[in-house]
Amino acid sequence: MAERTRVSRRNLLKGAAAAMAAPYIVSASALGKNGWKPASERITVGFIGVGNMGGGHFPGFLDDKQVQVVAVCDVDAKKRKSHCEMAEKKYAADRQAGQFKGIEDYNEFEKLLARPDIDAVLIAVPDHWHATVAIYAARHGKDVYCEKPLTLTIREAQALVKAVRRYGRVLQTGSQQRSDSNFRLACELVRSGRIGKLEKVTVGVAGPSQERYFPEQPVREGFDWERWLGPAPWQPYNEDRCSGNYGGGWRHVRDYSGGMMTDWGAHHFDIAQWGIGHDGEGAGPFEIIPHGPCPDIRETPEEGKGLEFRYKTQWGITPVFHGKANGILFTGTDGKIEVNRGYIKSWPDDIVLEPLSANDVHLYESPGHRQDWLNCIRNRQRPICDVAVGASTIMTCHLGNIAYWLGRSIKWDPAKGEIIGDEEASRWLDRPKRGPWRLYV
Amino acid sequence: MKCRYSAPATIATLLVVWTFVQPVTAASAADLEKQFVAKIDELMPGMGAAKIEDRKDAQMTFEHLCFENSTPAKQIERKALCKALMQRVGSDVALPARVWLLRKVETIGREEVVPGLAQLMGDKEEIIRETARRALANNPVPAAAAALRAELDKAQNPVWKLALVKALGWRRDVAAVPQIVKLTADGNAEVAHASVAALGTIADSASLTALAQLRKQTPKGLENAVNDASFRAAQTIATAGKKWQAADIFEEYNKAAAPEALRITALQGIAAAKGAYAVPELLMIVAEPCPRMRLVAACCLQRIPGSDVTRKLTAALAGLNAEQKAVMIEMLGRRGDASARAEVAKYLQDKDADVQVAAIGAMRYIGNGSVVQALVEIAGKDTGAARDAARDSLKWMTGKDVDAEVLKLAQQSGRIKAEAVRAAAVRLMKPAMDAMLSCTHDSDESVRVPVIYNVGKLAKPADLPKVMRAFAKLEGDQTRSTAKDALVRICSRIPEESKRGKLLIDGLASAEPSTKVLLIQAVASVRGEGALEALRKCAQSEDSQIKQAAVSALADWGPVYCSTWAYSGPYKKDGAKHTDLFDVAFAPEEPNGKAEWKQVKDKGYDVDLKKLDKGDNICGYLRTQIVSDKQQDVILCIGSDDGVKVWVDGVVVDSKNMSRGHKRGEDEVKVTLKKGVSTLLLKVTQGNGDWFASCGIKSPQGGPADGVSFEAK
Repeated sequence: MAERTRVSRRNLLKGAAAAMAAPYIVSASALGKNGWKPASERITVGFIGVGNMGGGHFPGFLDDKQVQVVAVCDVDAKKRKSHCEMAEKKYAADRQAGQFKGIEDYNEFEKLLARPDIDAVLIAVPDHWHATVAIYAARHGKDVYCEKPLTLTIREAQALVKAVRRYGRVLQTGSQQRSDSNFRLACELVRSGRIGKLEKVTVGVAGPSQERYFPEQPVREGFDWERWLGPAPWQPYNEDRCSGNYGGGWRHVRDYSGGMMTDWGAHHFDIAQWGIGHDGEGAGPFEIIPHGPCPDIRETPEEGKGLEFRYKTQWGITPVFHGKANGILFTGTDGKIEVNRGYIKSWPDDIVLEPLSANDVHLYESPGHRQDWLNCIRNRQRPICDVAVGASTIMTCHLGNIAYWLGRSIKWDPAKGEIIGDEEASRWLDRPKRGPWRLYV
Repeated sequence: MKCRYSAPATIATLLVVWTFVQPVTAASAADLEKQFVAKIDELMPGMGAAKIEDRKDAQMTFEHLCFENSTPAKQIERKALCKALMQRVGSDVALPARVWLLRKVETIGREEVVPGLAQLMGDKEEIIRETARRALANNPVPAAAAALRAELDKAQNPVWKLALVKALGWRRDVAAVPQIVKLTADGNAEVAHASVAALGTIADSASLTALAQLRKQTPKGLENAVNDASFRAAQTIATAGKKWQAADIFEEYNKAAAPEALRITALQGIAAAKGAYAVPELLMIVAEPCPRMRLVAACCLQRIPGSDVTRKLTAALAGLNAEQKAVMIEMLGRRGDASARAEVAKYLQDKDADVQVAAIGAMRYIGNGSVVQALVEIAGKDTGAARDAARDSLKWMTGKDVDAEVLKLAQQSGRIKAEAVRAAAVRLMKPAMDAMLSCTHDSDESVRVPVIYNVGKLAKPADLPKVMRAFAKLEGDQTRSTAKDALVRICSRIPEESKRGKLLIDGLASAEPSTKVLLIQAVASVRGEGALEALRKCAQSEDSQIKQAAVSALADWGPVYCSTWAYSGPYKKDGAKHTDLFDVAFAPEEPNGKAEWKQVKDKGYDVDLKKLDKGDNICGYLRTQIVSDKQQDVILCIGSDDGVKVWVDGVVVDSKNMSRGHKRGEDEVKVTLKKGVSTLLLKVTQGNGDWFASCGIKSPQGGPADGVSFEAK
């Protein structure tokens, strides 16, 4: 029986709102003023990681009158302090008060997660920390918005799904393209048969992460390097190694990230899988075949020179190619649809112009990625990019990386979540963690 | 670094390495091992270089060697390589090289590396001890686990103990359970925590027994660890088929007095383990006063599959109070099992508003043609939440029987007709187009606006005359604004951009004043040939409404874009990038240059140069004539992908040597046009990807320039 999940429903909201925990320190005078929800109905949120992505989300959450940001955690003291100040200034201005105090800052995420008054957390730490922090959060009864790529390894993805289900939490993966109407439309058109029988999909992202060789530098003041490394193998500090900049930094380093295959793949392969109806628990390709060498992290392979992911779909065996496309290109017997941010195009043109009727395939329509998450926190439904969706996408990306790195085809059992017949490739399903960091599976 | 991709498959070539490594042949595993040792020795200085950045080539070469020789078909090579590798991880080797070699062992070593790794766990260097531990943790052979257990027996340091317990737990090493059970009482809290956690991961019968004992007598400070480990163990055995044993563990936490987080976890586990058998106890929780637990229980019920479950749930509805019933009906809808339809439909007219709305909303997922009339009647009669829910369900219910029923009701009259037509519109039912056009003046704005909006989605350009008739004399700001958008949308389906406004302009002639205003607004959005002239004519109208609309449209017009061009190209130079071509004067920009020109057939305002020529690092020229009836200052609005150089009568007026995406009007340049004909020439460079250009003219005040037009040359 298919689970149908849509926007919030008033009965569920009503029940959940009544049970919502009270915020940590919020003035009673703030109750319901200026369009704010009363404090007792606001969702209290902690931020774990306020670098590029967390810092990007932060102002939006401060503006959102459904939530109250109450805590900030980052291993960079300067960043967490500045974000606390930003929040306090914003809340003081909103309340037309001279001062607002009540945002706590933490170096250790465990301390933030131990607070019983926090309902939910936004996790925007480097990839090698995602699973550990998210599982810890779920265990402590927090609902989670976790930035993509959801995990660093396949085993972590499987463990995270189990944990979120075990504790009955809501987890939204930060693959926000699912909440963008163009991407949804493209997938609906494909699944409604508007381009005929789907023959192939091409996904345009660049290559996997690499081993990187950064010279040692003195650790900058206020930065907890040991904690930044966390479960990853020890390496000497270097500013670039731990920089979150999109064109380089840790995203390029294999110990912390899967490179562009996971960073952008978590968006574009996610849409490819949505379009072929192959996401969620038990979904995924059954074979991954490299047709050429591992591309550089800045390079997108030519069509037919990259990976071929093979799926069993409603159309038979459908290949998804890692190759040059402007985003995601679906090719069918009767036409093509290409979609990317702010762009959707079809051949012939009228495929995207012809509206879908009620009897065509309609996919989950999210009211916005953050809003969808907040709705689901209240109604306990699964969000548009539920943990199982994020996990199935990132497992596909990781399988691609393993095939690239090892330079050989991989056979995969998506139902069991195991590589078939290649023990050494299977050893890339996870990475042993350093020191005290243990993953609860 | 490039590698040879395809491995030669000859028997003689046992070892295939990357192009900078000579292929090696060997007669035996021992010979192979020697060759690997030699190769490692060759790479050793680089792998252990003092400067990190100097290690890359050697370390990556070695990594490729490992990957290439650890395929399923190359187990002899893998073993020989690992043995060779273990000969070179001693303390006489530079530390970075030792670490790198051990990290490769982590992914390819098996039995052959275990004794060496066991020894290295006693190395004086902490990083070696730790890397060896990780390599053993990821080694699938039983001997690796035995080595970790032996090390745990000796371990004194709590941090090291913790790391070993973690490794054994991660491996789910059943044989380690007795040691780990003892460590749950370790004096170091972290070690005790890790040991309890490891039992939860291993989840064999001995671990379960130990955890059961710990639940009965939980040492202070270990409560959370014990609970969590118990949940994890229960989930693991449930997945493995021991569902009732798992359910027993979860049941221990399903007590009304239990902390909420524990109980929520317990309910998830009970639902997953017991399936349909969990329904009665979950229903009891739905009847509890706590809204949060009610919600959690309802969501658990929602996810237990099976029509038998649906039957039990529908049968239980009668015994619930209104608040509980509303939650349950909503959940029944979300289950998506149509077998609940008849029972849920009984509540479509329930006296309790919440129950009624829940039942109406549930039809979105489980409704069919049989409930359409009831929903249409509710939408036509009720207001507020019931009407909104009915309209929503009418929009999303699927099935041809739903369409047929909607069409039938659309032939009726009054509110039934209006709501049925509204439903047909939002369902985008083309056969209902005429009915939709007959409802564009419905008295209820919440009917006519979506109808008009969806006419815009469904109508073809050929339908425009009758659509314009149906839109005559519309009233209400939102209605008129929606109608304008609908007209624009219909016109946007006309392929040729310059022709899109024609039907609207034709319509202007016969429209009465209020419709004319609507059409003026639509023409101003659609534009195309004749639009500007038509608006200028309307701006002379004696009717103040029409005049004001046209003047306002003209003020907002912005540039007039050129859609008539001649093209010459492509031009290139060997080895030159597009930015190098920017200042190379090809024939079209030479005073007497002989260039071949062809008319651009596409009449769009954005010239897609890739339709004219393909290639990277090239450039092309676009030429047209500007005719002005007087000397005047105008603004040229230029967009290009990539760079652009612009001449008016041979004088460069814009120069952007760069890579960029196309954006209309990105460059604005003031020029003085002479009276008569001026020549406009654009040189557009192309690096790779898209290749576009556009050019428009506006007055210095922002509106269309008076008396200026483009003509092909």
